[in-house]
Amino acid sequence: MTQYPLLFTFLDKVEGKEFLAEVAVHGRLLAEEADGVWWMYGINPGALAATGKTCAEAYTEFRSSLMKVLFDIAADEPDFYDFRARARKFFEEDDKESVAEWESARERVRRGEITLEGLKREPAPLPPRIDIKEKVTFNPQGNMIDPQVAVAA
Amino acid sequence: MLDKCAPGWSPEPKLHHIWIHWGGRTYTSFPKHPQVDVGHVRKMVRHLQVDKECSQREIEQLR
Repeated sequence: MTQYPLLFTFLDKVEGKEFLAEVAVHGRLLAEEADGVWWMYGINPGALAATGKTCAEAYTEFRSSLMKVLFDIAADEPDFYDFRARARKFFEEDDKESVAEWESARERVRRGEITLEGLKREPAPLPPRIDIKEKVTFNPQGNMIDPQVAVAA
Repeated sequence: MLDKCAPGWSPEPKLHHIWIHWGGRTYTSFPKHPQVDVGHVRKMVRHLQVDKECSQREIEQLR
Protein backbone atom coordinates (compact mmCIF):
# COMPACT_ATOMS: atom_id res chain seq x y z
CA MET A 1 0.00 0.00 0.00
CA THR A 2 1.31 3.46 -0.93
CA GLN A 3 0.00 6.71 0.52
CA TYR A 4 0.22 10.17 -1.07
CA PRO A 5 -0.42 13.46 0.77
CA LEU A 6 -2.41 15.63 -1.64
CA LEU A 7 -3.53 19.26 -1.60
CA PHE A 8 -6.62 20.25 -3.51
CA THR A 9 -8.70 23.30 -4.26
CA PHE A 10 -12.33 23.02 -5.32
CA LEU A 11 -14.06 26.14 -6.60
CA ASP A 12 -17.81 25.91 -6.94
CA LYS A 13 -21.16 27.45 -6.17
CA VAL A 14 -23.84 26.08 -3.86
CA GLU A 15 -27.47 27.05 -4.13
CA GLY A 16 -29.47 27.20 -0.91
CA LYS A 17 -32.72 28.65 0.36
CA GLU A 18 -32.79 32.14 -1.13
CA PHE A 19 -29.00 32.36 -1.46
CA LEU A 20 -26.13 31.44 -3.73
CA ALA A 21 -22.77 30.75 -2.07
CA GLU A 22 -19.38 30.86 -3.74
CA VAL A 23 -17.22 28.20 -2.12
CA ALA A 24 -13.44 27.71 -2.28
CA VAL A 25 -12.24 24.60 -0.47
CA HIS A 26 -8.47 24.47 0.07
CA GLY A 27 -8.16 21.03 1.61
CA ARG A 28 -5.92 18.04 2.24
CA LEU A 29 -6.52 14.40 1.46
CA LEU A 30 -4.60 11.17 1.73
CA ALA A 31 -4.61 9.10 -1.45
CA GLU A 32 -4.02 5.39 -0.99
CA GLU A 33 -3.35 2.76 -3.62
CA ALA A 34 -3.46 -0.95 -2.88
CA ASP A 35 -4.06 -3.90 -5.21
CA GLY A 36 -5.24 -1.68 -8.05
CA VAL A 37 -7.84 0.17 -5.99
CA TRP A 38 -7.54 3.83 -5.07
CA TRP A 39 -9.01 5.48 -1.99
CA MET A 40 -9.13 9.19 -1.18
CA TYR A 41 -9.50 9.91 2.53
CA GLY A 42 -10.31 13.45 3.60
CA ILE A 43 -8.07 15.12 6.18
CA ASN A 44 -9.74 18.53 6.01
CA PRO A 45 -12.59 17.95 5.64
CA GLY A 46 -12.21 14.74 7.59
CA ALA A 47 -15.60 13.08 7.23
CA LEU A 48 -15.11 11.98 3.67
CA ALA A 49 -13.88 8.96 1.70
CA ALA A 50 -14.09 8.00 -1.97
CA THR A 51 -12.83 5.16 -4.10
CA GLY A 52 -12.10 4.35 -7.74
CA LYS A 53 -10.16 2.07 -10.05
CA THR A 54 -7.75 4.88 -10.91
CA CYS A 55 -6.39 7.87 -9.05
CA ALA A 56 -8.38 10.21 -11.32
CA GLU A 57 -11.60 8.25 -10.83
CA ALA A 58 -11.27 8.26 -7.04
CA TYR A 59 -10.41 11.98 -7.07
CA THR A 60 -13.46 12.78 -9.19
CA GLU A 61 -15.63 10.77 -6.79
CA PHE A 62 -14.06 12.57 -3.82
CA ARG A 63 -14.91 15.97 -5.31
CA SER A 64 -18.44 14.86 -6.09
CA SER A 65 -18.94 13.50 -2.58
CA LEU A 66 -17.63 16.68 -0.95
CA MET A 67 -20.00 18.81 -3.01
CA LYS A 68 -22.91 16.53 -2.10
CA VAL A 69 -22.17 17.09 1.59
CA LEU A 70 -22.33 20.85 0.97
CA PHE A 71 -25.59 20.39 -0.96
CA ASP A 72 -27.03 18.42 1.97
CA ILE A 73 -26.02 21.20 4.35
CA ALA A 74 -27.54 23.83 2.03
CA ALA A 75 -30.80 21.89 1.93
CA ASP A 76 -30.98 21.86 5.73
CA GLU A 77 -29.98 25.39 6.66
CA PRO A 78 -32.45 28.27 6.59
CA ASP A 79 -30.07 30.98 5.35
CA PHE A 80 -26.57 31.77 4.09
CA TYR A 81 -25.06 32.41 7.53
CA ASP A 82 -26.24 29.09 8.98
CA PHE A 83 -25.01 27.33 5.84
CA ARG A 84 -21.58 28.96 6.20
CA ALA A 85 -21.31 28.06 9.89
CA ARG A 86 -22.28 24.41 9.30
CA ALA A 87 -20.01 24.08 6.26
CA ARG A 88 -17.07 25.46 8.27
CA LYS A 89 -17.73 22.95 11.05
CA PHE A 90 -17.78 20.13 8.48
CA PHE A 91 -14.50 21.33 7.00
CA GLU A 92 -12.70 21.81 10.31
CA GLU A 93 -13.70 18.51 11.95
CA ASP A 94 -10.69 16.23 11.51
CA ASP A 95 -9.05 13.46 13.54
CA LYS A 96 -5.51 13.25 14.92
CA GLU A 97 -4.77 9.80 13.51
CA SER A 98 -5.55 10.83 9.92
CA VAL A 99 -3.61 14.10 10.26
CA ALA A 100 -0.57 12.17 11.59
CA GLU A 101 -0.81 9.70 8.71
CA TRP A 102 -0.90 12.57 6.20
CA GLU A 103 2.15 14.22 7.84
CA SER A 104 4.01 10.92 7.78
CA ALA A 105 3.30 10.48 4.06
CA ARG A 106 4.50 14.04 3.51
CA GLU A 107 7.80 13.19 5.23
CA ARG A 108 8.26 10.25 2.87
CA VAL A 109 7.68 12.55 -0.12
CA ARG A 110 10.30 14.96 1.27
CA ARG A 111 12.80 12.12 1.63
CA GLY A 112 12.11 11.10 -1.97
CA GLU A 113 10.71 7.71 -1.00
CA ILE A 114 7.44 8.25 -2.86
CA THR A 115 6.51 10.23 -5.94
CA LEU A 116 3.30 10.61 -7.90
CA GLU A 117 4.16 11.38 -11.50
CA GLY A 118 2.52 14.28 -13.26
CA LEU A 119 1.63 16.20 -10.11
CA LYS A 120 3.15 19.45 -8.93
CA ARG A 121 5.12 19.34 -5.65
CA GLU A 122 4.12 21.97 -3.08
CA PRO A 123 6.80 22.47 -0.42
CA ALA A 124 5.08 25.34 1.40
CA PRO A 125 1.33 24.76 1.44
CA LEU A 126 -0.97 27.28 3.09
CA PRO A 127 -3.03 26.01 6.01
CA PRO A 128 -6.25 24.27 4.93
CA ARG A 129 -9.27 26.57 4.84
CA ILE A 130 -12.73 27.01 3.39
CA ASP A 131 -13.79 30.40 2.02
CA ILE A 132 -17.52 30.94 1.62
CA LYS A 133 -19.00 34.16 0.26
CA GLU A 134 -22.55 35.06 -0.55
CA LYS A 135 -22.87 35.76 -4.26
CA VAL A 136 -24.77 39.00 -4.74
CA THR A 137 -23.21 40.41 -7.91
CA PHE A 138 -22.70 38.49 -11.11
CA ASN A 139 -20.22 38.85 -13.96
CA PRO A 140 -18.16 36.54 -16.18
CA GLN A 141 -14.96 37.24 -14.18
CA GLY A 142 -16.50 35.11 -11.43
CA ASN A 143 -16.16 31.95 -13.51
CA MET A 144 -13.26 29.79 -12.34
CA ILE A 145 -11.97 26.25 -12.67
CA ASP A 146 -10.13 24.19 -10.06
CA PRO A 147 -6.34 24.56 -9.91
CA GLN A 148 -4.39 21.34 -10.39
CA VAL A 149 -4.06 19.01 -7.41
CA ALA A 150 -0.56 19.01 -5.83
CA VAL A 151 1.55 16.70 -3.69
CA ALA A 152 2.58 18.20 -0.34
CA ALA A 153 6.37 18.03 0.01
CA MET B 1 -20.77 -2.78 14.74
CA LEU B 2 -21.86 0.71 15.80
CA ASP B 3 -24.47 -0.72 18.19
CA LYS B 4 -21.69 -2.53 20.05
CA CYS B 5 -18.83 -0.08 19.69
CA ALA B 6 -20.66 3.28 19.57
CA PRO B 7 -23.81 2.86 21.66
CA GLY B 8 -26.22 5.73 21.19
CA TRP B 9 -25.12 6.43 17.60
CA SER B 10 -27.80 7.78 15.31
CA PRO B 11 -28.26 7.89 11.54
CA GLU B 12 -29.72 10.94 9.80
CA PRO B 13 -30.63 10.32 6.15
CA LYS B 14 -30.04 13.30 3.87
CA LEU B 15 -30.68 13.81 0.18
CA HIS B 16 -27.27 12.48 -0.92
CA HIS B 17 -25.68 10.73 2.08
CA ILE B 18 -26.48 9.35 5.50
CA TRP B 19 -25.04 11.38 8.35
CA ILE B 20 -23.84 9.29 11.28
CA HIS B 21 -23.75 11.04 14.68
CA TRP B 22 -21.87 9.82 17.72
CA GLY B 23 -19.98 11.41 20.58
CA GLY B 24 -20.63 14.96 19.42
CA ARG B 25 -19.09 14.25 16.02
CA THR B 26 -20.69 13.65 12.63
CA TYR B 27 -19.64 11.53 9.67
CA THR B 28 -21.38 13.28 6.78
CA SER B 29 -20.63 11.13 3.75
CA PHE B 30 -21.78 7.59 4.49
CA PRO B 31 -23.13 6.17 1.20
CA LYS B 32 -26.81 5.39 0.81
CA HIS B 33 -26.39 2.33 -1.41
CA PRO B 34 -26.84 -1.06 0.28
CA GLN B 35 -23.32 -2.42 -0.31
CA VAL B 36 -20.69 -0.13 1.17
CA ASP B 37 -16.95 -0.54 0.56
CA VAL B 38 -14.95 -1.11 3.72
CA GLY B 39 -12.93 2.08 3.23
CA HIS B 40 -16.03 4.13 4.01
CA VAL B 41 -16.51 2.22 7.26
CA ARG B 42 -12.82 2.54 8.14
CA LYS B 43 -12.93 6.31 7.67
CA MET B 44 -16.19 6.63 9.59
CA VAL B 45 -14.82 4.63 12.54
CA ARG B 46 -11.72 6.78 12.64
CA HIS B 47 -13.60 10.05 12.22
CA LEU B 48 -16.10 9.27 14.96
CA GLN B 49 -13.21 8.04 17.14
CA VAL B 50 -14.86 4.69 17.74
CA ASP B 51 -12.72 2.21 19.68
CA LYS B 52 -10.50 0.57 17.09
CA GLU B 53 -10.19 -2.83 18.77
CA CYS B 54 -13.95 -3.09 19.16
CA SER B 55 -14.59 -2.20 15.52
CA GLN B 56 -11.97 -4.70 14.34
CA ARG B 57 -13.55 -7.43 16.45
CA GLU B 58 -16.89 -6.73 14.80
CA ILE B 59 -15.66 -6.28 11.22
CA GLU B 60 -12.68 -8.41 10.28
CA GLN B 61 -11.86 -6.37 7.14
CA LEU B 62 -11.01 -3.37 9.34
CA ARG B 63 -7.86 -5.16 10.61
